[in-house]
Amino acid sequence: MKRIWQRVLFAVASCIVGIAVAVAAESSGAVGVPKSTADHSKFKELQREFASGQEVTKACLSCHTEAAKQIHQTQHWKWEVINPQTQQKLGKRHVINNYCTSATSNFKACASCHIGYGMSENFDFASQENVDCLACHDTTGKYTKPSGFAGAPVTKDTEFPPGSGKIIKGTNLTPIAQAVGKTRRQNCGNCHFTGGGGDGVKHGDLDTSLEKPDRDLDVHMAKDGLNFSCATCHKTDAHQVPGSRYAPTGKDGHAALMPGNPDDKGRNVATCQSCHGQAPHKQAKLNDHTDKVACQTCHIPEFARGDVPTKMRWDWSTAGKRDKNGKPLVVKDDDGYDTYLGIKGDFVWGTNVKPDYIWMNGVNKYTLAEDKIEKSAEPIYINKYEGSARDGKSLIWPIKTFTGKQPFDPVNKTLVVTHLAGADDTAFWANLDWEKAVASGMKTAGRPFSGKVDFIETVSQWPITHMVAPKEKALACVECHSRNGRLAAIDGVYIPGRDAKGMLDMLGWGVVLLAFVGSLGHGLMRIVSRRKN
Amino acid sequence: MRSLLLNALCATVFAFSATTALAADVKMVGVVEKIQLAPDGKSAKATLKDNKSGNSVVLSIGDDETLDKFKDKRIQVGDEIRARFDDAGGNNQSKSFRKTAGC
Repeated sequence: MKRIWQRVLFAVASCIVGIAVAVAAESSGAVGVPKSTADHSKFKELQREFASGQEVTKACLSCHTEAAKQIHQTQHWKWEVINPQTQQKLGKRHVINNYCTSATSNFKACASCHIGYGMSENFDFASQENVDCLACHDTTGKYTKPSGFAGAPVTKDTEFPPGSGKIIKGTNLTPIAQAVGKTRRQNCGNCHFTGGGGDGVKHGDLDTSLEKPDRDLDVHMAKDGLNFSCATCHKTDAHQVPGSRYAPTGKDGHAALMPGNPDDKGRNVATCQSCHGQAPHKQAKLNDHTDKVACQTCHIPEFARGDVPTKMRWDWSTAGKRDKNGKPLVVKDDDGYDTYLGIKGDFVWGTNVKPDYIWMNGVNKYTLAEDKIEKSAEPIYINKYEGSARDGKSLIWPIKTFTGKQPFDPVNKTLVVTHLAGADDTAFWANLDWEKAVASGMKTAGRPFSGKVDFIETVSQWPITHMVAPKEKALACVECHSRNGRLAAIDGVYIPGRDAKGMLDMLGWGVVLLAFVGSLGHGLMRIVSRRKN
Repeated sequence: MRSLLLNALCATVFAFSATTALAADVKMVGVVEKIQLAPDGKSAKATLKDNKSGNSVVLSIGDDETLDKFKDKRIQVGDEIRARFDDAGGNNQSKSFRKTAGC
């Protein structure tokens, strides 16, 4: 009995020591070794007051002399990207979507998510001091760029909107500048988790639940697991962030990345294959799928799984209703999410949403402001991924299909830029007047407008690639290999369990029957011949 | 001795299962009525008026991110908050405390 107690005591003591060591290692990095080679609080350039973001940037550039030049080449700065396959000019400055429709004409609000200061239609993209280093390198969580200031932080207490009595507290930039460091998931999340105007609204696989996810929600980012930051996969090179839905990698046919391998030059490093290669499963049969099925298809069974809903539909055509006090009407569901806003129209939200599935080769074709659209061709695809079973470049991908009804010009037959945000009389969110708002937006965008506004059904597609579940939560075979399974709409490929081919099936069953008859006959002959002997 | 060990084991299992049963995540949306920061700044009590029931609920806040928002007035009285908290033991320990507002 004494030995049992000794063992129990030893086990408990071991646990306590183990936990203590783990906690100590976690809090100190690795036994007191600083993680960074520079303590920015010790830099003389940063030991001062900063009246603006530009002053901070100047201080940063005094050491990081080439950083702004690198930033100037990025999509995050330019808000413009030329699609390499279609040559379409995309990016936030050019596309019209079916959420808040366009950044153009609304930069004062939207530029809170630009990595620069003072974004406008006439913004100086060659300016170095307007590069916002803190948006991506703040480690304090205190750096904010409120809506309405064109991407600038507010450094002094400011009443906004003017005359409203609401005070935006000024941010002290000094401690923030002194604590800069590697990009954390919160830096990316400030914009990418809240795209479309709120938490989880736009993407479906990106929301604030990824700030501290458990393993079931994201096997890579789990705090108690691998604890990846966004930049672990989206590993930058000269500030270029790889991985973009404007021109995604539909099929990465390469093996896992190998340091120094010249063949890997220019590869998108933010693919599953760049770490996991082409044969990641222990079961060979599963590896047979990787030339047809994107990893995400099986390993992201649903999106919006983190208890944060995503918008699935937005109908602008119903916007404009007011309550009894004359204010824009607000209707919320039981969980407090807006289902109707007088300034935005009707919404449908979804959680734990099963994706749709398409063949996708990475070519993303947009309907742009200059493209003619016909009401008879509804729904209009804001963007549509191309792909097929036969092109050799496509895989079956999961997507979020977002539907909407948005304003368009029925005479010129184009999508329209709408001036939404602002306190001026032409902003839709101030006056709820579509004609004024569209006229203002189209004028700013330099586009023709007939003066008439109608509404048109639209669809946009969003690839689902985050919120990767652990392997034990991946889709079971039957989810796809069944008559009305998830891949029911996928054409061009034979899926056992889903597909029936009359002649082939008959032939197969014929062979089975023949084999049965043959063995039966053989058995009978043996019995008969034994009796004869 | 063996029965003593068995009893201790049973008591431990019971205690753990009881704790687990009592702990439950509660979600609510409400407007901030009051924020009381502790003198050392390491915790706070926030009172929310539940949009659904109209009742006032006091939440305990312990995470640095939210405490910083209180100190910087990024969250203040009158803001609408979507909160998730653990109501075990009546302490209402906040797990998530965010403004509902978007653009």
